[in-house]
Amino acid sequence: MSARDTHPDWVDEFGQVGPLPANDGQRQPLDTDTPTGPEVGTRLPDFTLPSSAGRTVSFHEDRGHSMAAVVFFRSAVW
Amino acid sequence: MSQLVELQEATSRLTDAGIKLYAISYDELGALEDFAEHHGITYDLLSDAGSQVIREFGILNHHVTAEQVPFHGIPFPGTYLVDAAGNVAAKSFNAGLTQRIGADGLIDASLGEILLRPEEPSTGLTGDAGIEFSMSYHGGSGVIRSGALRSLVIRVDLPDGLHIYDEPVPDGMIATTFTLVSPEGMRHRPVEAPPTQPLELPGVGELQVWSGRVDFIMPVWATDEITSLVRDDAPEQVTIEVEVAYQACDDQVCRLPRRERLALDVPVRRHVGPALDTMPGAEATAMDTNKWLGAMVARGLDAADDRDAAAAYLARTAASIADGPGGPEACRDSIDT
Repeated sequence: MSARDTHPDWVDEFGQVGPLPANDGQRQPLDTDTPTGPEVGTRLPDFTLPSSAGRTVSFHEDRGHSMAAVVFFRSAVW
Repeated sequence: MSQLVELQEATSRLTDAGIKLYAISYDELGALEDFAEHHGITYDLLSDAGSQVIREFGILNHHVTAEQVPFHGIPFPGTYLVDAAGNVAAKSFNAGLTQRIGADGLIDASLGEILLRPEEPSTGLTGDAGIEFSMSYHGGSGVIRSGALRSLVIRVDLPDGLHIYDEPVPDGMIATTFTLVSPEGMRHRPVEAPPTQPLELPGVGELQVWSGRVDFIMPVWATDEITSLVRDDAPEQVTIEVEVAYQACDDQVCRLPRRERLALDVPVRRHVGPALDTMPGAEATAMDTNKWLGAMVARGLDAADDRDAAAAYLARTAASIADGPGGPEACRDSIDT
């Protein structure tokens, strides 16, 4: 049995089925004009946030002279 | 969640590549500590509860209205690669919100090239006139997970003197094309090709060709027909088949058009998801999801301008998840029959 038999309201345009309807806010895809934040070539804005590792991270100070990846993810809970 | 776990599996490779890793969400700090403990996350999970940094970056998901508790405050998910000087070297925001870049995508972006790894599934064959074809499934340690964006790297090694064509070509000739034949439920974005070289043919004009070693990249992801959060019937592996159509020529002679099929078996792994019974297709996280959902709901209700509207949304959403027409319940029913 295939997910193609699922009610179409639950399937988004990328073929993913979620526990909520595809038109619910957090499942709507990016529009072409959706902002994606700081542009390539510009300095990443600094931020200071508490970490799961039991410390506070000030981004640019913490990375020093290293390259870094900053991942914005939805949630570790749902 | 799967993205965080996969990044953890790749931390030593990211370190070797000189990339420090930070991940930010709107979760409570306690939830991130809980998740890190249960999944052995050693990099920094940063708590932006209240979404101040998410707003400053301009990536608050504006489709989620203020009363949509507890979802309000999430970002459009994306990743920035920052160079040693602190500038954005690359970023990845995907239209499909479940399509996420993984560690290999980051390493590739930092290097400016694709680094294939020995454990990644790979296949090859020899085509017309000694042309070697290979296809590798790149990223995520070579396994398929729901929605994760991976790369099919199709490498063509052309013997000296031979070339193949890009569009457009004159009548009677064919350009190089790639068709994802199977499995059903796998989708792809347009194939990314390296730059072509111009070739002037008398009486025809200028054509665009590739020669030598050419890496074509087909970004692919698995939809819910293969692996699903809401169904638990994922296969253990699937066979990815790609058909390559091409025509090889040297500067004197054009050979006949040919087609080759590359087939690759790739293992499928379950998604890591919240411990909710609406998600039987996910491998449930051991953390106390309900506790932290409760905390998020309480925080969201406190922050909502219209608490009654938020509470009403919450009730509707809970009912929708539990009883939705064609939602998880119907999926499970259809599997049982």
